[in-house]
Amino acid sequence: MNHSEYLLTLQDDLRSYLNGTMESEKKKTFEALLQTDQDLMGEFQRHRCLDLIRRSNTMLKAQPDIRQILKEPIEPDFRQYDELHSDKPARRYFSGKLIAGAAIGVILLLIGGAIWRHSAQQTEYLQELADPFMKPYQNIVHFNQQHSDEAYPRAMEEYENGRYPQTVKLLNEYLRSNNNENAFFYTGMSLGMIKKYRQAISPFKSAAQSKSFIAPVAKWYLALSYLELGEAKEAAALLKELENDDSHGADARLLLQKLKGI
Amino acid sequence: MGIQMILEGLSQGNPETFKFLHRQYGPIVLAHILRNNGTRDDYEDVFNLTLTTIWQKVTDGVYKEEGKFKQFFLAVAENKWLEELRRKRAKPSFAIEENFQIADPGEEDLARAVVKDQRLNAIFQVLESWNDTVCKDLIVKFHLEEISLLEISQKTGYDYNNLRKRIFDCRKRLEKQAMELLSVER
Repeated sequence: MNHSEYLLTLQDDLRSYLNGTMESEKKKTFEALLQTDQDLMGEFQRHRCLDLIRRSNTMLKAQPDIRQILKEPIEPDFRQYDELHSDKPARRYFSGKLIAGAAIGVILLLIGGAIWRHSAQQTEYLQELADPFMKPYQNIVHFNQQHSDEAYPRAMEEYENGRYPQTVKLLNEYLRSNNNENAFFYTGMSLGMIKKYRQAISPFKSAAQSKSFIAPVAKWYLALSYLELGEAKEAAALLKELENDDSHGADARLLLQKLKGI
Repeated sequence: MGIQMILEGLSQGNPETFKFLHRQYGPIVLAHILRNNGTRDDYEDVFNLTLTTIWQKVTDGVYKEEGKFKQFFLAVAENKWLEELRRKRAKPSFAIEENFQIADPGEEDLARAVVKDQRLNAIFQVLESWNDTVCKDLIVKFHLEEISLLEISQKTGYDYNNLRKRIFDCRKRLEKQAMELLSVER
């Protein structure tokens, strides 16, 4: 049997190796063989490439169209970008009447908050407002395979599996030597999921103060955390900032409406 | 364009959807890149990577529509730019000879392979250009439709061992032509 014929006998092994069905002992032997046999490695690369084509067929087909479309000139929209990243609402959208109305609303909220601050009934009501919204935010963080053993990717894996205490532990480990708004956000989110709202405030604040796209999301969950703690004034201030937000504006206005009675 | 149309368009690879997303979110993504140490040249790859990643998440059923598509899109774009910055920083200052070997990307890196791997794109391009050849038929059936060699041999009447040898040669031919295509493009 020549070498080409020998390679042909390994076709099934290549396939089971690629689709992950090869037994672990056999896998070790096969990987050792791949390292030493250049022809087998070449054949493996060809199989691998076709496997990638199978998994991404539609998108590969679309690549020429996408590249063509991306040549269409566009101009950066700094105005919209800044609005999305602004810590304060865009003032120019507020008329004098609206500002006055908002100010009165805030004052009323402050008065209402002061009167009812210690009322258990009020806290219960605020929690009822927040509970339907206090759901885990989807994972938007992406990692390369090469980083999969690091604390941050492992944390996000735990997050996706709903293991929030483990997520918090790993993210704390990561944040000891890194400053990352998404990591702060998911720390807050995980603490919120295990009802440690007071502890969630600080990481949410860090994420909300960033210039990242996650900032308004962090503000939203920060507001919900305050509601869960019965702190209507702080929640209302944040909800006001989110009134014009694309994603949370409608919900923020709804909650503000319900807070008006307090 | 409504969100359902966008999601359908993405999963079908519809150019109108890509055009819409480029016009709708491209200016914000470009502003983000320019504000964060990038240039216009970086935009195309980042936007393409974002589209491809989102397409992958939509088709894999990972993306759950909660009325936050814009935010999701921009967050993915931001992460893609962050990844590119990290890669740029990690890049060695000396040139590495390309060995034409394809890496083994996990799910997250599939998008990157689609956008950035010239060899993968060349092999795909050559395969697409083969019109109704026996080789194309065999490769499509075995590799893309995952039909076993035994089944193909039963359906086509080819001898099993000959078929195995034939597809082996087809793969080599495909690779050779892809290399030629790449060397012409360079």
